[in-house]
Amino acid sequence: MTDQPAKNTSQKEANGIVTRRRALMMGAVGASAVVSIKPALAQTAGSVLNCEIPIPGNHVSGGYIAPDGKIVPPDTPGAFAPQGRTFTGEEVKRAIRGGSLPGTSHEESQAYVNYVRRLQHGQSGFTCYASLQMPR
Amino acid sequence: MSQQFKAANPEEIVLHMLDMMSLVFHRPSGLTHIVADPIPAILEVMQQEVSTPAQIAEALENNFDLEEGVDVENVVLARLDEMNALGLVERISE
Amino acid sequence: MGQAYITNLRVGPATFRIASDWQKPIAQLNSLYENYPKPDSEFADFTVRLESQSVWRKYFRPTVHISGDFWLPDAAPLPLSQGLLAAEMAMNLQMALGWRRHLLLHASTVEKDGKALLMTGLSGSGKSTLSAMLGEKGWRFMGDEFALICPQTGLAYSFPRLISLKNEAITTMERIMPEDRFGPLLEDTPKGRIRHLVPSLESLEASNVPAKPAMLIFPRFGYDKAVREIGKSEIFVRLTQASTNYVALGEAGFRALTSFVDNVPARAIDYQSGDEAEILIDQLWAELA
Repeated sequence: MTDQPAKNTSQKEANGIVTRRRALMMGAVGASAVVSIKPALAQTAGSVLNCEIPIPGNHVSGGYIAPDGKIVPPDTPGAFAPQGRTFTGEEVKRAIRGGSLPGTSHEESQAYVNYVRRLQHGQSGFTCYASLQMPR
Repeated sequence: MSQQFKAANPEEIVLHMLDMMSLVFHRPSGLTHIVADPIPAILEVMQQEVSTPAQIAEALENNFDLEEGVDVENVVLARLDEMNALGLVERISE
Repeated sequence: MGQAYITNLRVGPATFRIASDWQKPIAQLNSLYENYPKPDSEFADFTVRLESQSVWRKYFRPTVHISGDFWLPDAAPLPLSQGLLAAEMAMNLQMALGWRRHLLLHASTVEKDGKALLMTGLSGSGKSTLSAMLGEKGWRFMGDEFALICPQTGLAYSFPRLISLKNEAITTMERIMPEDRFGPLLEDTPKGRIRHLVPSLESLEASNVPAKPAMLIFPRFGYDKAVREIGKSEIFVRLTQASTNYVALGEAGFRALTSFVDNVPARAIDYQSGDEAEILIDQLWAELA
């Protein structure tokens, strides 16, 4: 690696104008980034684990997330305030298998996972979640 | 890691950007692929040059803001393998 | 075994030759399709056959086996009393498997001011009932099952088959429609109770007039009123799943669908009643179309 201090920052300066480079999510080695459209409904070349699921999605306005994943009024006992976070399909898949979503407690993680499980067509993140269910 | 790759000819691919993902129509196979980052970026920096995963990784680091702690070269190689299977890039024999 | 009873039908741009071992389904089709434009010539795009298993089964506990240019194995036969349903299913199958002149989307379509509203979703979403209802409330009905998108122009073409109302939707429409617009009530079908509704005379007479897609709705019946935006990637994937011939059309299908997704605003709506849906749709149409 050559000695260029500017390389590791997210801003380049040219003529005094600061330009930001676009952020690029690299994903993980094992995370496929392709889904192929096939004639049969249920066939895919690989699940798009690099996709993102916002928790909560755009259909929830001001609601909290109960332990069973349902959207409940704010300040419902036992419910978690939505932090407006986004998790990758890879992170959600690991959490579904028993891990925890990064940056959350175990109970919070379970609530979020149950929320994802309840996602319906038309809600943000559903396609990502659906693609997680399809076998390679 | 000195494997070399080359992107498919521009005439073989139709690229269409959507919001979170991009679409690639591969003319020889007639298939449509939905691709997520970093695949469009990899294709963008490869152009029509023959490149190694290391070269592509360096180009990505120069042109994009990447997360910390990612093994960029290995991720690039994994994506290239995927793309090679679908005909979006070709592995060049040494 | 040649079928004795024949009719030729036109639905939008597609023509069908229906051949049957029994007279009754043909008589019913002729009656319900009476106001449809007639096919131009003897040549039909598709042939459909309603066949008996054997000479004996033609008369004793008769069941209809569906056959035609395009068919699927494991298609279960239906009792003769549901021969009309068998003919409809067979015609749908021909379109789904064999039509190549347009991109096919599982969506209902209605038109206003030259612009088309498409509604797509799974069974039970209400897309069929909504299109029937809107077709009687100032919109032109263009189809309840298949939307036809021209790959060259992006325009939507009409496929105004008989509207297939199921279960509760039958009662809903019986309240607002005269009896002579309906076919017979079919009970105990694989999809429950079914009754066909003939589209209005105006919509049939305009069935070769296209419209420009201006709004796409993903309806969901039985949920509290809500409107949601959907990302373009999500819309594209759902529409490929809703298309029976996207892959078969190759690059033309790709360009038609990407163009559609780029240009047509979309929303998901949840609703508890037809009236509620109509209000939401009118609001969104004024805002987006």
